[in-house]
Amino acid sequence: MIGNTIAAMLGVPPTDFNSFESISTVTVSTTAATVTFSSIPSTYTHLQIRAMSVNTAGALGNYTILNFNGDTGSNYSWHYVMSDGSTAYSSASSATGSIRFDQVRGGTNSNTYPQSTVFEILDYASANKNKTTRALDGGNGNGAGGVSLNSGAWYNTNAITSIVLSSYSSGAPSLFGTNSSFALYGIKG
Amino acid sequence: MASTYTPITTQTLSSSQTTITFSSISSAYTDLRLIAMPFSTVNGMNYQFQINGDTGSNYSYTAIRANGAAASASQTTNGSFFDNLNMGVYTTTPHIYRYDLMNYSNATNNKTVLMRFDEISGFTAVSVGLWRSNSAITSITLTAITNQFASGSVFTLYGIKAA
Repeated sequence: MIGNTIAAMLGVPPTDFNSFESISTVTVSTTAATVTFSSIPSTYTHLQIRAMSVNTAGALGNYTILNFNGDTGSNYSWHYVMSDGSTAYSSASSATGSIRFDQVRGGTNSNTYPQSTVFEILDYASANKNKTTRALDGGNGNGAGGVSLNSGAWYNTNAITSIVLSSYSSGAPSLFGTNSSFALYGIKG
Repeated sequence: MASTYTPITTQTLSSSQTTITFSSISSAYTDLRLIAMPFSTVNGMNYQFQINGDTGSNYSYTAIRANGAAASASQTTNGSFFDNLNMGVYTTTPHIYRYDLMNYSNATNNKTVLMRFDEISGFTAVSVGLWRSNSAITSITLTAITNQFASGSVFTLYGIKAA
């Protein structure tokens, strides 16, 4: 048998299926610049956000940023490795104001070319360690697409009680499109 | 809170076979996750992934894979299936393949599948696939392109339900 914490880190199912619980879901009915999960209970070991979304800005240059507990200071870092179908490349930023993962597909709603993301925050309720995140993210437009593996860190030992996801494109705020959905789950150790 | 991560069904092969099918998939969940640990009858077997029996040119995907020396990118448009990125299933070395099918029962949007391929002997890869259909996903079929899935292969389909 594999422990639930190890299972979560490997991305395989927990052995105790009561350990994976739905906390909250946000579905965008028209458009939204941000999606917020607040008052997150500390009763889990890890958090997972499963999203199907779209950025209204256009086809390329889009991304989503995340902030924890309202902190927009230069307390984050992120890395990713990505494919656009023809080239593999990577990027990183440190001492920056958010964690970022690219959201390559654009459009007015998520019906045609939805972007999918599985984003995880490990040991989010710990009060004595900085926080680490990871994500698998991708979208394909039947001719253009991208897929990425992302890691991030928040250099703060506070328990995470709120998460704000913001839509961006080419350095400017953008919008999540119609029917974008974000589901927050808790995973017990 | 109620459990939201539910095993729907597991197929463990007791003999070799060419095709693995999950059919009559309930629409009661938000996402599906398929965990596959396949073995093959001959080293290097590849297989295809199709949805709802659709063999038309409705599949496209973008991928990245690394072999320890270099990372490479690839893309397929208007394909007739999602492949396993030529990862080559082995007879004894287990691979772990994971498929996340988001909002699979939604009848208004095309479907995106996140795929992750891990194998010990040489590669790791991820891929995102687009299936151009707004039909709810009710079946998934894995078909060996050459040779067969071997005895001991395990395939488990899970349902994940959002609040």
